[in-house]
Amino acid sequence: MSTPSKSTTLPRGIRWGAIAVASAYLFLLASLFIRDALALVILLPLGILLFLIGIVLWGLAAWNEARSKGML
Amino acid sequence: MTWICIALAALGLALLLIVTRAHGFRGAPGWRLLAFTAFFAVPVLFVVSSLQADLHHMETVQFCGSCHVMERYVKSLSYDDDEPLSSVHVRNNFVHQKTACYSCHVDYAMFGSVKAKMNGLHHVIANLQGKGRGKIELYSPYKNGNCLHCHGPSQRFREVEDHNAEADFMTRVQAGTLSCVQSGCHDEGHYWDGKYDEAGTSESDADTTEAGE
Repeated sequence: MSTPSKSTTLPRGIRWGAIAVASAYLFLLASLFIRDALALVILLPLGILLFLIGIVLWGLAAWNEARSKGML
Repeated sequence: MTWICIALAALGLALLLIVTRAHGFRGAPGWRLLAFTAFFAVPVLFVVSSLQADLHHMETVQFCGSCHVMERYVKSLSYDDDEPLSSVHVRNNFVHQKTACYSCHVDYAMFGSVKAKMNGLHHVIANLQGKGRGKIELYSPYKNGNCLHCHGPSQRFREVEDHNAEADFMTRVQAGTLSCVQSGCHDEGHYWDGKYDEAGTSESDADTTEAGE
């Protein structure tokens, strides 16, 4: 069983991934309340794009971490 | 649906906070599952549910009318119960009143909704570029298939004398060589020239049975 890591430094990819996903939540939540056509056209694609960026950043950071530990 | 989205967003943000704040425990059992939930599972669920809610709203007349250029068309939906065609359908409840634009302007085909969304995006871009300030035209002639989707199977439609006057009538209508609206058989879809400004004062003799059910 693996033991908890002592390092508390958050990898950059995870930090920016979390920021992107959190912003995406806000954009998409805003799109639920601002029901104007122009706002929806801007907020919806931007929210989805931010989610994708966040997921990719997190995935890359997790991949790098696993590789540096020799798990891949 | 909105409340589900709000709950999912709150859960997702809380999980993100935990994953980023308590990163020192990243080797602990269950950590990977937590990170996966925070960065993938909950966000995907949230995106799907908020998209569903937004797309549902995009079908409403209120949404179509949120662009200034569409106000006249939305107004013409409540002109009179026997003209124009859009008003006949809405006032007589032949289509859902809340989604009237969507009911008639989205093709009943596999990618009809997708095409409608792409056209909608085009509308917004055109509007931002200052186009479409005058009378708005359809991208292509109105498809009979959209009329026939509801009217085609209707006995009332098939029994109309004019619909049986020619042997190849239905063939021509289905092929699109004879248009329900543009051939002049039925009233125009919307009024543009300000007729609807006189809402309630019209004394049209148009026959409502022609518009069908």
